[in-house]
Amino acid sequence: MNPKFDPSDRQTVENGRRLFGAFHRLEQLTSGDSPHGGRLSFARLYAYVRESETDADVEAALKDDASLRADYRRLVEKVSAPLIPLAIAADTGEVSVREGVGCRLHFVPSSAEPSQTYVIVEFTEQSSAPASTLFLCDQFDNCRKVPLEAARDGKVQLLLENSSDLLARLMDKDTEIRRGL
Amino acid sequence: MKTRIYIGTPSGPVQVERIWREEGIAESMVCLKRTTEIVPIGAGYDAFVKRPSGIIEREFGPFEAGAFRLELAASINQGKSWQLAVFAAHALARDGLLAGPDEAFERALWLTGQVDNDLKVGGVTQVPEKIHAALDELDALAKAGKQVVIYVPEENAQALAGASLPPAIEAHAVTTAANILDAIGTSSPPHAAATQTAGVDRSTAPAVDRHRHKRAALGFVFLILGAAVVAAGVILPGQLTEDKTVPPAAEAIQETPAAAEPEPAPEPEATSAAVAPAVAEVEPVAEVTPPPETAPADIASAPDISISEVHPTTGSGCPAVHFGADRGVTVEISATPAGDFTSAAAGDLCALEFTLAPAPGQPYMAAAIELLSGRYVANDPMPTALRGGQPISAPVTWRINLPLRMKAPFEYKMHLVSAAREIPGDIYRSLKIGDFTAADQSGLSITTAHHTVSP
Repeated sequence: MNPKFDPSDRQTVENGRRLFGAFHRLEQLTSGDSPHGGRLSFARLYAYVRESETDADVEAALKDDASLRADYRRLVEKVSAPLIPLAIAADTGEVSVREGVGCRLHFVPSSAEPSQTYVIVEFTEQSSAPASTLFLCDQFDNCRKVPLEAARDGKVQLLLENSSDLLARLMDKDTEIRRGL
Repeated sequence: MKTRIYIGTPSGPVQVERIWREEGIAESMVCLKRTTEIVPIGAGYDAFVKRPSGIIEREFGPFEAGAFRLELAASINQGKSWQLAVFAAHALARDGLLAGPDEAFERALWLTGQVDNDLKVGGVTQVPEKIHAALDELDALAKAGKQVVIYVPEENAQALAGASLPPAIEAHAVTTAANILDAIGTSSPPHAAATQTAGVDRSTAPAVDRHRHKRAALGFVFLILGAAVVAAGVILPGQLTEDKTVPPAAEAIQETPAAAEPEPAPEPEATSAAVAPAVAEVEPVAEVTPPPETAPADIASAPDISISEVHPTTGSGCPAVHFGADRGVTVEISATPAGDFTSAAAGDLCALEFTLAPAPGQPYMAAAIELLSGRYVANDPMPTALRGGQPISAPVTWRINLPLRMKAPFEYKMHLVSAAREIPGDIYRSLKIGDFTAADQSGLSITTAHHTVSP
C-alpha cells in the first residue's frame, strides 16, 4: 500500500522538503563530478581521506585552496582520532619520545647513517588495532597524510632523512598527530 | 679474505653492500644502498633474522638490543631465494670480511637458495635465468683476477650443468647453509665461532666483545672460586685423578655461557654432511635441460572475485542503502562468455558488493580497483585485510556505492592478488594503477575482473 500524500498536512510537507533536500545533497556529494570552478569534488576528497593511498592531484589542490583545506581538516577530524594531541608535548627541547593516546613515537638516530633517523610508532593499547594512516595537522589546517605499512608486533618503523619535512612534523610539538579510523 | 656477496635474481646480481647493527630499533630492515628507501623483502628479512623463528640471531648472536640494517645495491621485491646469500653475508660480516662496494676484495660469491630453520638449503625458482643474468658481471670479475664462486641448492644442481660457465668460475650445489661456511673459509660452526677471537666487523663487534668479556670475567670468577675451594680443603687435591688436567682458562670461559644460554641443538640427520656431501661438486653435463621451474603460486588456483549488484528492498531507495539503513538485496552477476561483467544502473542499482576469496594455501590478499571511467564512492574504506598485510581465513566482502544519477558508464577492473606470505606495500600500490610487473615477477596469483556499469 502506497502512503497517501496530503498537501494540506504541513508536517508531511516539511518532512518531504527535508527528504528531498537530503537526497539532493546526497546526489551532489556522491556524483563525483567536480563542482563549478574546478574545485575538487567531495567524493574525491572523501576517498582521499579514507583510503591509505596518496593522490598527488588532491594534495596539489589542498596546497592551493585554503577553503578546501579547511573542509579537509574537518573531514579528517571526523574520520580520525587523536593520537598525539597538542596538549601532550615533550618537556625537553630534544625530543626522542612523544607520548600519545595509546601510542608512543620513538626517534632513534641511525648509527649507520647519521643523516637518518628511525621513527618507531608503537601502539601501546592492545584493544585498538594499529592505524594504517596517520594525519599530521598543523595550525594552518595542513594535514599531511602518512600511509603506514602493516604493524609488526604492534610497531611500525619508518626511516627518514633528518632533513625531511615528515620527520620535522613528527617531532614538532605543534603538530597534532591523528590516526585514521 | 675480503669477499663480495651477490644475491642471484632474474634481473641480475644484487650485491649485499653492508650489514649494520642498529641499537634501539624495533625490526631489521633492508635498505636500498645507504638511502632511506626500504626494500620490500624487509619483513621477510626481519623474520629470517629475529629470534626465535629466525636463524641469524640464533646462529651468529648474541647481539646488542636492536636490529640489523642490511643494504643492497638494488631492490628485491619478493621471495626467499636471497636467504642463502644473506646468511653467508652475515657470516662474513661477523668476521669483518664482507666487502662493501668501494672496498678492495679478493673473492666474489654468488648465491641463491632458501635456508630453513635447520639450516637446510631449499630449492628456488628461475635459477637458469638468474645465472644467465649474472654471467657477464661474474665473468668480468673472474677476468679481473677475482675468485668467483657460484652456490645453488642441491635441488637446482641441474641448472649449473646447463649454464655453460666459464672455466674460471667455480660452481657448487649445497645442501646445508652451515657447511657452506667451511666452503667459503669462514670459521667453524657459526654459533661456536662467535666465541672466537677472529676479527669482527665493527657493526657487530660491540655485542660479541662485550659478551665475550662477560664470559671471560665469569670464567675467571669460577677459577678463583675453584682455587679457593681447593685451598679450603673441600676438594682434596688427591681426589683429582692424575690424568685429568685442570681445564685451561680458555675452556672454562667457553663452557660458561653454555649453562647460562643453552645452545640451539644442531641436530645432525641421516642425510646431513656425514652421509651426503654438503657441498657437492657438479660435473658439467652436456645435454641436460633444466626442467621448467614452477613457483608454488603458479600451481595453486587463483583467488576468486564475486561481484553482486545491490538493489534497494521494496519501498526503500538507494540513499537508504548508501547510508546503511537498508542492507538491500544482493544479486550475484555472472561473467559474459568473454569473461567480462556488465550491469545496467537503471535507477535502482545502488552499490556493488565484492566477495573476495584467496587461493588455497595463500591467506594474504591485496585488492585494488583500477578506475577506467566514471566514479564510485567508498563509504567504507577497503578492508585492511585486502592490503596484503594480514592473513585471512574466510572470504572478505566490501561494498562500493554508485552515484545516484550516472551520467557516464562506470568501468573498472578489480585486481586481486593472493600469496602465501605478506604482500609488500609497493605491489599493492602498483596494483592500483594496473601495473602487474612486480606481482608477476614475484610469482603471485592474480585475478582480474573487468566490469562495466552502464547508466
